[in-house]
Amino acid sequence: MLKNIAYTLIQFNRGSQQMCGIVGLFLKDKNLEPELGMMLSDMLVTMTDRGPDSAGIAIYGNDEKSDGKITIQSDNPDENFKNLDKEISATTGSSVSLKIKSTHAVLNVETSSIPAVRRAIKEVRPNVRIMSAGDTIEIYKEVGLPKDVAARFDVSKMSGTHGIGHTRMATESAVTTMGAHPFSTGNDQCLVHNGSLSNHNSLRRKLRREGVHIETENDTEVGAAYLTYKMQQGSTLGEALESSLDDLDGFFTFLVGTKDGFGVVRDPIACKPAVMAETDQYVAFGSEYRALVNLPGIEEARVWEPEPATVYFWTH
Amino acid sequence: MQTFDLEAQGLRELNSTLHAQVKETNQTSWEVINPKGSHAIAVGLDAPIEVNIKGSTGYYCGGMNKQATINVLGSSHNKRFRFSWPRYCREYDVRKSCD
Repeated sequence: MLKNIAYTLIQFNRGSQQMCGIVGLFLKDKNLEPELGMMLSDMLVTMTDRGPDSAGIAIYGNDEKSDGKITIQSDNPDENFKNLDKEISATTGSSVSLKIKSTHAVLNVETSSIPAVRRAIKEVRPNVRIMSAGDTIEIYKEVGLPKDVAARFDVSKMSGTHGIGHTRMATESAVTTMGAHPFSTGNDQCLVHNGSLSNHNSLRRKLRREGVHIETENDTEVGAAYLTYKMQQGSTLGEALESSLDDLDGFFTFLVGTKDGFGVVRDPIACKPAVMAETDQYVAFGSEYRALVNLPGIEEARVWEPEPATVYFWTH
Repeated sequence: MQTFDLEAQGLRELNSTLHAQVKETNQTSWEVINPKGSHAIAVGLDAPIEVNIKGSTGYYCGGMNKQATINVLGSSHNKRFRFSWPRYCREYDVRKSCD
């Protein structure tokens, strides 16, 4: 009990001026899509002070040729990614192509063969980690300064319909690639989080009992898995976010991406900062207003602070 | 009125310029443009001057102020505590009008 109170006080005292930065951009205007990566990486680098230990982005591409995608990561890419596409093709019998980006690679596959390819990866390369899977999502995350992470994956050249990013200052688990955000626990779903959940251990046990796969001991992954579980049970993104207000305990500002949507929710005290801006061209989210200042037309944008315990979401 | 472009001239330059103003200064009206959400704008002022910041600011704006009048013509990340304890750290928009 005392430990809990002390922990809560420490969290309050750390305040909202530190611990992680979140950015997000949801484009309404197709003409901006080629510049998504450029705008998102600029926003991400501005949030370096809030989270200098690791960074990541999830980007929803607009490449119409592609069918399904799996983003994978390895600490030893030269060895692990070599001939991986051929070996997976041979194992699954479906066509697979591989595009390497530093420690990450994107496997282009048919959407229907995603489960088989996932199994094949585990079989032929047990050390390779799966970052995301789905029709359009790609996730890139690494330890290091946000500007270095963005440069390593050439984020500024990426185009897409929407994307979210995170700069991390670790509190609940170690500084590792797998502890970095965004977390993806379902096809085309991802989540970034500023704050810390206090009931993540019990919730992880409950979700695992329901058969939900949770990879790490990180609190945010539990939040992501919870939303995925709710959506599997038939909830919409909006409904899943509503129910998170009852079932999750702790501090959180969540930013969630789905294939065609983008949502925000804050805990009822709204301890963690958040600013949103909307124009005819885009909806943008930042932990601080600083992250939004270089967006086109920001001077005329509607800028507001999202209300506590209120769900906001947009879909294409 | 003195105009200061924060983006071009920088934060340290702004604050040291404002600190250099003494009680008898005749430069009593200042305008800060391009604040772009920066933190710690116009902190620690101790002269009877007026500073109008044209745009939104980050944390600590106008902190440790003694004599100056500081207006933010936009939003601010400054904390306002609703209760003395526990210190709920929710942030409020501070929207002040020009006049």
